[in-house]
Amino acid sequence: MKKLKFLVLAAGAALMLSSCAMVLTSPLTGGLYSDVKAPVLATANAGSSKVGTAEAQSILGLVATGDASIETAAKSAGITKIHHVDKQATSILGIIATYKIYVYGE
Amino acid sequence: MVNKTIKRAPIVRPSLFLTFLLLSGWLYSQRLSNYYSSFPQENGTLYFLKTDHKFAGPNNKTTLKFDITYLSTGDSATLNFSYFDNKLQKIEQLTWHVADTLFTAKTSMLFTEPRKNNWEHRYTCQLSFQALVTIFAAPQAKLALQVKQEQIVLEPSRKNWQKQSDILSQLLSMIAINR
Repeated sequence: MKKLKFLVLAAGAALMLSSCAMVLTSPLTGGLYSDVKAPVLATANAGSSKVGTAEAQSILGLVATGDASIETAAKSAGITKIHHVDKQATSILGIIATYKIYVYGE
Repeated sequence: MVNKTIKRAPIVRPSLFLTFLLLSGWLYSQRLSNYYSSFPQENGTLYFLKTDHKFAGPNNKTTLKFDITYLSTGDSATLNFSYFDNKLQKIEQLTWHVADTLFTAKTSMLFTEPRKNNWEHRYTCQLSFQALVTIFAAPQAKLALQVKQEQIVLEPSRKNWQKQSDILSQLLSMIAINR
C-alpha cells in the first residue's frame, strides 16, 4: 500500500514537472538538463555575412517573457535577406528555460 | 515506552536540488561553446560572438550590450550594440578607451525603438580584428558614445569585464588559429 502511494506521488510529481519551464519546440527533451540546437529553416538565398539573435525566457513554466521572433533577430543585425535560421533551447531542471533564435543572412 | 515515530527523509532534499541547480548554471556559464556560433561558407567561416559584457553609465541609468560578427577571411569585424537610455539619442561614433589607446569607429543606426521605460538604440560599427584582440586582452576598458557635442561614458564592473573578456579573448584566439 505504501509503495503504491509512493508510486502515485512520484507519477504525479513527474506529470507536474513535465509542464514546467520546458521549451516545447526542442527536438529532444531532457528532464534534468537540456541544451539543444536545431534547424528552423533554410532558404535559397546565397551566402551570409550577418547574424542576429533574439530570445525568450521562462521561469517555472509560470512566467514567460521575451521576443524570440525571426523578425526581431533579423532586425537586430540589419538582415534583409535570410539565408537560414537555427534555434537553441536550454532548460535546467524545468525551472529556467531559454529559447534563442539565430538568423543568418545579408 | 519507546517512541516508534520514524522521521522520513524527504525524497529529494531541497539542498541537493538547489546545489544541482546552481552547479548546472555555473557549468553552463563556463562552457565556451555557449558564447559563439560558427557557420562555414565558400568565402570563409562566419563567427558570431555574444558574451555577457554589461556596460553601464553613471547610476546605472544607461546600459549597453554588444555582439560581434566576423568573417574569417576579412580584416574587420562588425560590432552591433544596443544602448538603452530614457532619452532619444543620435549616436555618431563609438570609442573604446583601453589604457592609453583609443579605438574609434563611426556608427550606423539599425533602429531605435521603445523597450519598457527606455529606448533601445541599436547601432552597428566596424572594428579591425586586431583591435578587438587588443581591447579584450586589456585588464580594464571603457566605452564612450559620441552624441552631438556630448560624450556618454559607459563602464563594466571589474569582475564582469575580467570574466567576459577572458571568454572573448579565448574565442578570438580560437578564430585566429582557424584562419
